[in-house]
Amino acid sequence: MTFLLAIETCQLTKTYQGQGGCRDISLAVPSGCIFGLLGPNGAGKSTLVKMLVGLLSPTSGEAKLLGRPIEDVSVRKKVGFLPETFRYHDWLSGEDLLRFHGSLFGMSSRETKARIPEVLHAVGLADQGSKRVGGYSKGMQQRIGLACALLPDPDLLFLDEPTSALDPIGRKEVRDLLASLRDRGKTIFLNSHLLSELETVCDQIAIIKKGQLLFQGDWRELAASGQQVKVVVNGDAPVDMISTPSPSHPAIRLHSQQVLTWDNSGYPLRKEWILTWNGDADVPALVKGLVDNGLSVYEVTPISNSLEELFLQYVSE
Amino acid sequence: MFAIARLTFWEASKKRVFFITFLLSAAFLSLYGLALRMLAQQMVTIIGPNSAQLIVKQILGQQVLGAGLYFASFLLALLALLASVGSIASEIENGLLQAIVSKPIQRREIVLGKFLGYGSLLVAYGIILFAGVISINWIYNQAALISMTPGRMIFGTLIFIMQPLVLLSVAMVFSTLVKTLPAGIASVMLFGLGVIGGFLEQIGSMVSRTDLMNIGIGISLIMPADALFRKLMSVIATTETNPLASLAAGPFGTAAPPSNVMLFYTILYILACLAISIYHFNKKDL
Repeated sequence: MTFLLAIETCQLTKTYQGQGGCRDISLAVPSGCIFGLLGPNGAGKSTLVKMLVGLLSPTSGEAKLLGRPIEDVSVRKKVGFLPETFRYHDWLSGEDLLRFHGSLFGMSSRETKARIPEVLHAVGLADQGSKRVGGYSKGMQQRIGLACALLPDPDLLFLDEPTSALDPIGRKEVRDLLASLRDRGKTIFLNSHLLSELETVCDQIAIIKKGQLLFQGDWRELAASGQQVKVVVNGDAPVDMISTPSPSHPAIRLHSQQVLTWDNSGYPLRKEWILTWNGDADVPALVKGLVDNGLSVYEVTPISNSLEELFLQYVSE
Repeated sequence: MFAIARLTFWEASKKRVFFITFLLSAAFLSLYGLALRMLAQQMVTIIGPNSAQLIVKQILGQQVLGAGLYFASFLLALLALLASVGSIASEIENGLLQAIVSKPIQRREIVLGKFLGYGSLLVAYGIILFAGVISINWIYNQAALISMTPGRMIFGTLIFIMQPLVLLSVAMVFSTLVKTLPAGIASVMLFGLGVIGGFLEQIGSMVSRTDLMNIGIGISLIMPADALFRKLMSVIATTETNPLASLAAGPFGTAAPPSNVMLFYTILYILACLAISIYHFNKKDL
């Protein structure tokens, strides 16, 4: 069955003696996307994830995974989870560990047997399955944890810092794996501090701070909504034309300007403006307007906010 | 539940504490067998009327049998407490349970699976240990087993293996309530309290002090492991319940054997402990 929303929470709250945790989180994660959860340390990210996978009982509020309440443990048959503290039975071999987790997922031994080579291959441990987990490196232990989470071919995957122990190549492999899972219609809920990584793979994000949800949605739309353009021009600049919204340029504001070069008498020649649009930037119209006003245009560069800038903007407010 | 039980059994059998207890048990049975062999040789040299020889044999035999079963119970108790006390607490502390609790299973299945896993190991080990002690006595100390029948043997085995199950259930309660170290300390202290309670009850019975007996019974209700041992001795060693017979059996004898109601109480006690463990674990934030 396909669901519009893979995760749906309504005023989900978890507090510890009335403090900390997270409060009134109402989240809607669409199916088939990679959703990133961002927040500074202690913001309540892990609390939220732990509530959703059944490790913490909510103080109040409701949540649904794949259309069913989180209290219904049977929904977890199609939910994979990689905890941040990826500790597993280190005396078992990788394959034995997967067999054990297969039985916990309620998979038959035949299903598990068929899936083990697939997931080991997917996480890059194809030839390491017979070795003891205790003998694995940190990165390999994180990979075997990911293999456990992938075992039932889950529709929803919770990954708490999934690449914290991986080298750059390993991170790239995991990113590719997540993208391929998304392409197969799987939903991935990613909790990571690595903003550059989230920026690469996430379709949507949520930002929480001090237990409160500050933003959720498509971060690229958010980044584009306050788009800026850097313009380098030569000539007398009719700053008023752009610094004050007018009927011809209703959405443009001059954010900043600086002189780049002067002539021999100290007269400013070349200037750099940073212009901000309230809506989508119409760069061709801007260039035409500048040229029509007698300016020589040397450079026009759209500036998009990075996820990191957006994140910092939100959490520092 | 059975997946957890299988893994727990497998894991427990690989633990160092099990290996050490196994070695200690082998050493104990060897030394115990040697001591009984030497005692049997010494008995032959006792000179006197046949009836006097028999009484000496029975008194010494009872004491040696009691000592053997007591130390076997003690080894089993140590294994039960040390192996299982961190079963849940330590796995919460190191995060191992996070990947298990998030699976499509009820939390009670984890508690029951662990009880079943450790319990089966303790039962299997208890049967071997009990059979070892009884076999050695059967070879060298038959006088102490004159009242033994197959029925009593089976009944005795059941009582013997109930002792570690009681301790296991108590350890599970503490393991869901507090961290590993406090859980271990609390469980061992409760076990010690049960032993003291058992002694108080026996002494009270010997000197006919009802108040002392009541204190002992009260403690046995809090921790029935020692009461089970007294019941075991009354089933295996003797049918006599008078103070003289218990004096003859020494500190491991039974002046006032617990009734069968105590056995039912113990079963309820184990079930109640499991219910408390499940209740606490269900409420536990991981």
